[in-house]
Amino acid sequence: MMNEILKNIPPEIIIDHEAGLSGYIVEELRPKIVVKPENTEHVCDVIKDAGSTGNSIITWGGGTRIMSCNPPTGYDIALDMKGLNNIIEYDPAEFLLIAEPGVTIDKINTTLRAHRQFLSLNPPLPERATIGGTVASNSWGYFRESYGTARDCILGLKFVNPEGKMIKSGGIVAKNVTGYDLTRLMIGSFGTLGIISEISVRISPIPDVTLLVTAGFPGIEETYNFISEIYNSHAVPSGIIILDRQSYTMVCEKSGIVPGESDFSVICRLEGIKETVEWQKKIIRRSAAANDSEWINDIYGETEKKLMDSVRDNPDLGNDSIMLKVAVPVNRTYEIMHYILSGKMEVTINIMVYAKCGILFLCILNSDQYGKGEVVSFIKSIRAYTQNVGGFVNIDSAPPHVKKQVNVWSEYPGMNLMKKIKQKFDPGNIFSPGRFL
Amino acid sequence: MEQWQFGSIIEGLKSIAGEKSVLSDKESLLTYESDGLTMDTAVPWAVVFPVSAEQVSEIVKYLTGNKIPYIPRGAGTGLSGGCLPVKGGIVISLTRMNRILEIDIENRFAIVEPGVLNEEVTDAVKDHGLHFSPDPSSGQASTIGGNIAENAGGPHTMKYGVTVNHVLGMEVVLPDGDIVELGSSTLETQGYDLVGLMNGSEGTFGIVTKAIVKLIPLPETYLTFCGIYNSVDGAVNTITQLFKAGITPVALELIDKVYLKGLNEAFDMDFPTDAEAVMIMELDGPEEGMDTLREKVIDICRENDMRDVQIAADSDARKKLWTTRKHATAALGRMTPFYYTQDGVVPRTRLPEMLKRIREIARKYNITIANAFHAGDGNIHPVLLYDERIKDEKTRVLAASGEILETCVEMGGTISGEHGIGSEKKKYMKLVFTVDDLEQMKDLKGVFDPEGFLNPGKIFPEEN
Repeated sequence: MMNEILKNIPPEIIIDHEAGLSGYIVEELRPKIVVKPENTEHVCDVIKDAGSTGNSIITWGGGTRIMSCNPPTGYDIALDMKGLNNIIEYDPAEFLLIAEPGVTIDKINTTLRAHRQFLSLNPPLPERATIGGTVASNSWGYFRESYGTARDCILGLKFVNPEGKMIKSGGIVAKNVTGYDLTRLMIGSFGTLGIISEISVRISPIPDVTLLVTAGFPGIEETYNFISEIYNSHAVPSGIIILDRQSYTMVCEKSGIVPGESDFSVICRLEGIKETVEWQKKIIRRSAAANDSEWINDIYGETEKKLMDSVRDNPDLGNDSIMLKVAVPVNRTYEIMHYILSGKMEVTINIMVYAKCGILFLCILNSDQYGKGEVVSFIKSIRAYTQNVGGFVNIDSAPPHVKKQVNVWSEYPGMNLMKKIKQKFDPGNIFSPGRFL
Repeated sequence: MEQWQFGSIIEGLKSIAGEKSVLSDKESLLTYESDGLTMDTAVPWAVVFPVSAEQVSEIVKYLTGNKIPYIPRGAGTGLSGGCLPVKGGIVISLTRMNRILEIDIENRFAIVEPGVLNEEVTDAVKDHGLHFSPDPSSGQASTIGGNIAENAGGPHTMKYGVTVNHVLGMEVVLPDGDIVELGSSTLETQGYDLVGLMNGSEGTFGIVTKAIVKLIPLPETYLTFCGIYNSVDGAVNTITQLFKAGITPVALELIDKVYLKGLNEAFDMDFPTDAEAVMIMELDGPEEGMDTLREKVIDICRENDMRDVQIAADSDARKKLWTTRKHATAALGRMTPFYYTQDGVVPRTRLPEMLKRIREIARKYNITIANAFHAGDGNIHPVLLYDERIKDEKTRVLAASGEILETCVEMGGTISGEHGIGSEKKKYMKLVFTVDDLEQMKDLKGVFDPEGFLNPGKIFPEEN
């Protein structure tokens, strides 16, 4: 029946057998059909047919962020964009790359490396994550602390609206105030407003030198005093990440490093020319020692890359784990840490903090070991506490039974306006219904 | 509008904002007939000066109820006619909402009213080693509300981004009078980027009554170069080589030879007037390593047709250089009674070609065009000189200006980098966007302002 609805779509790009559909399950829901477009015309045709018949679409890239939304309220078609995997243009002198949405982050970086350039979007699992999915979910990695998110480097994009029309927004130049910024609107909209079909992105030069200074501290007071001292110096680390003992042990084991033994570890990432990096290293080492650090290490080269890749991929923890993203004003992560560590939590929380941008990832490993009430109660309590310090909590991943009890998204300013935009852009509610609004 | 109706509207506005908060006499209104783009004019029916979001809300509801267009306005330094009442109506001036409400040094944000001046934010926090980074040339006069409306840029936005990259949240009065909050004081957001949408929406979605702006650390030191070039190609190649070497300057400003004599006279500079271009290059960061960077930059400049380079010896010399750059256009007043500034963008590597085309266009229309570029961003600001008293000269300037914008689009660029579309460039929108693209944007406008009384006649080309 779905084949009849998608009358303009070549049968060879349609999958409707059980085995083929099972790889596209979202929150226990199976699509009726999978379409794997090979070009943008296919994308427009699928959407036009689906839009005119009210069939709902969930877009797939590498599937690395597919669990980061509420369960869908409808799911007829899985639109797998991985077949649109061409780099359309790469201009090293202009620091510009234009790509189809299905290109993986790894493929882009392989292309850029020849010119000592890289993509500052480094989401988890780059061998699978696509540029389209990264932009649609506003996904990021540790480069975020110095290079920002997709909203800071995407110059323009094209997307397909529910009528199957291709819409252009932005362009290929760095500064652009021509018309409304639909690019920013599409970034982080999780495929609920339109389907991204082309992306222009500003790329960055690889720095001369990159170095990690890692240090271990006995408590959060020492840890935050150390960071505060860095802030008060002229050192400008590209990233400062705090990990509790369990989290640091996990990332070290994953990257083949023997972890330092401390309750809290801090990774300071430095980049730039050699002299500046070395100078900053000295400041950071001195500050760590002055704040009772239990160990200090410098990590270079391949080991540095392995450790940071492991930090970046940490959210990939298995199906029964829960990952919460807590966002607060930049210097209020301490309060969240303190709340978790001093409270009598019924669940064990692993903590990783992106200190420069005020974001904590809280992980409950093997959540099935706890009673359902305990986990939900923790999420609600951390949400309430975070709201009091001016922040919010999103559920980055959780088993379906948890999502049935707690909304993935927090109360957030402007939700009514967002609903109106969704209604206007997608009046038939065919794009990822129920996933965000 | 009939006189009796007009009188009643004025009384209505006074009852909301106060007797002394409404201007309606013809002489006073002339002050509001244009913004920084003096070529276009439209006199408002009245100007009202609210002092709170609640007053803005009441005014908006009152005017919408009476089907009267209304236009928010900051300091009026915009350059695209964005705050002109081109369809008639009442100007809502936000200049009396000018308080800094909160400064949170620890969490690096400030909450300000829309009428606070751009530079006032930095002045309030610089002793704490912080600043508000966007620095439009109008920063001494332009307001945060206006900066947000136009997504203002400036010379130092190349490394740190434009206004949208520095606004975390805001309070907005929507056209239905609702006062809503968008975003928050966190760097992370949830869902659709409404704060991002408001930036650059040119006052057509709502009226910003409060903004949460990001404060970032001041660098330990600056290193400011002034390179004298024998060719524009050399200057542009310098930029490419700098980036390639992993050097990200905080600003890269190129000034062409038409400017040089005027700048020497106006600012006591000594630029060689036979040079093809002057480029101001600035680095910032820790003091340590700056010596190495200085040598690297000079080497790259020398490899690229640079005749000479001067380095600002101290903060006074740096300030003088930036004053010269930021007020360069004003110096053209020595050469012409009128000028018209454009704001196209091209891919950076095509700047030399663009400059050649601009010179051809100048010859074709028999006018003088001076050029000062935010070269690192490919954002051009050709200034077209004219004298209204000379027959057809204004017409020729407008035609030349249109051709420059067409050329920008042909080269893969766009028609506005930081000044906005406003009423001035709306007829060129179809160069960049299809009818479907524009319809999608109109859908968005319809979400915010279904009745269309907020700042009408902007951005979208007139239907026939």
